[in-house]
Amino acid sequence: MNNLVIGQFVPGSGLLYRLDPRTKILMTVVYVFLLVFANNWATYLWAAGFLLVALLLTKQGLGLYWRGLKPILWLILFTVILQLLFSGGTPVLFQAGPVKVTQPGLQNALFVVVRFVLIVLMSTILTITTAPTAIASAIESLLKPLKAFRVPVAELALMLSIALRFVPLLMAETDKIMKAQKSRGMSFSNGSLVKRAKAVVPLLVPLFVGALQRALDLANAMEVRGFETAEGRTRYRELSYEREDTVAFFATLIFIFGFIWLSIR
Amino acid sequence: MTDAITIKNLTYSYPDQGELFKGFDLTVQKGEWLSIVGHNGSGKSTLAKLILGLLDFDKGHISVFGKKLSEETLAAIRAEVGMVFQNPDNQFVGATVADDVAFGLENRQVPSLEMPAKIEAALRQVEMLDYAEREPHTLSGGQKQRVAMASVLALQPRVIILDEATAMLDPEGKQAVLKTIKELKAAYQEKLTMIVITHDMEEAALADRVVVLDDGQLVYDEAPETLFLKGHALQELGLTQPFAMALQSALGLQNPSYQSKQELATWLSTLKA
Repeated sequence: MNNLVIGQFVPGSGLLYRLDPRTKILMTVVYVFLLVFANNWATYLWAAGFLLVALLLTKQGLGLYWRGLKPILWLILFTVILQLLFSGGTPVLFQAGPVKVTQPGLQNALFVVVRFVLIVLMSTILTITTAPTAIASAIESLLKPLKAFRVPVAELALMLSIALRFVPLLMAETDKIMKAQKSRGMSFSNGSLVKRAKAVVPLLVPLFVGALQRALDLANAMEVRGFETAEGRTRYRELSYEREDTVAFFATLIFIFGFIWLSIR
Repeated sequence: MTDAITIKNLTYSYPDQGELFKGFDLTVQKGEWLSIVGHNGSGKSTLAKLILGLLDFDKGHISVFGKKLSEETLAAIRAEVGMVFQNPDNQFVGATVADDVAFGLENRQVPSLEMPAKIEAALRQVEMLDYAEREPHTLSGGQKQRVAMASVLALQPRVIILDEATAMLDPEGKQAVLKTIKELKAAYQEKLTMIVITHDMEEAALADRVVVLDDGQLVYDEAPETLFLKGHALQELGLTQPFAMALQSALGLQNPSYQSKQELATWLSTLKA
């Protein structure tokens, strides 16, 4: 469970670490959005080039990204097979009974692989270079306009950052309970699917009880330290827009225009 | 001299359970180091929660530095009294050590620019400054509890309550936390009132005064030196003697006196002669 890279912050010193988290979130959103419209090899190449630059600017080893990609390889493979078999069209490249592989099908399958990989890598770059709290405060800042519609943005952001803070703790607790159950003869990996699903229940009950106790304790600790509402608190870490962010902004603009030009050419 | 905390005629019952405190009185003097001991369920942690307004009591009153605890004074009293809880993980709000210390300051609306200095000073006092950017899951229990103390100190309270703060720690972490408590008391002297809730007698023995609770009743209220002479009576309350006292009793000495480990070693070496 500990080698999960997606959603994990890895401290480092690359240029991307110094960008404002809001800039990074917006860049990622724009990137993923544009990729949906990629329709030819030139656009994919352009997008891959942009990603490569970002990747190098994180100054992290490529092994880290490979580990981020590994857990979803099966998902990618599954989508590829679906694309290959059910795309239709002509010319048919290969046929065996009802199964046929067509040229548009093959191309779609390849596009899907590339798109998948690019999206996952881009989001991995975001989370690897941005601390969870920074993501939470960036989301709060970006969602500020929603306050006009009485959305409790500050509360949501605080909830998000506390939830993120408790992820490693709950993972450790799950591990502990699993070991305790295993030592009593419980098996989580053997038997039929129904049996395995049933084995999860005695795992979830103590986990939930523990989480509720933690929530109560944490509420007390927060109250004692003067917490009343999430609104109106001052901030230890202020977000600030710097020169690097302007550079990133223009780089993204160049990417967008290049992408549009390549896709309508 | 004003009293730090005055509890008068306090009555409290658990929801759906019997009465715990009935007509309970206790005074904590300003600048004193008070230990509250008692077996599980004796009401010691409940008392701490009542003082901080985390639980509502039925009758009586609690005042902190002359301010009577009520809905209106709650925030002001919480500004005076800081509390460190038992579980190191369940009171860590921030994503890093510095963020956690900042949490209380943010609540009190301390301007951003003033925060780094306050955080640094608080972390230095508990010797955790080198860990400022660390995440909680990379710290030991004792380190987390010291961060919790720094978080309280940053708010400059006049009273600190430690509610079994060492109960979940290994011996090493416990010693580090006790050392920090002693250093803080030495640094602030009369300016800081310390209430240490514990079931560890060695820890209780460090205090100026020890209060023993049993089912919401105040059984003893005296200095550790005399309290721990009551070996047998303490055992009946589910408490143990500190090691030095137990040793002397076991040796069949008539009038054992409380000694720290250092004193005990000296005393033992005189026995040989």
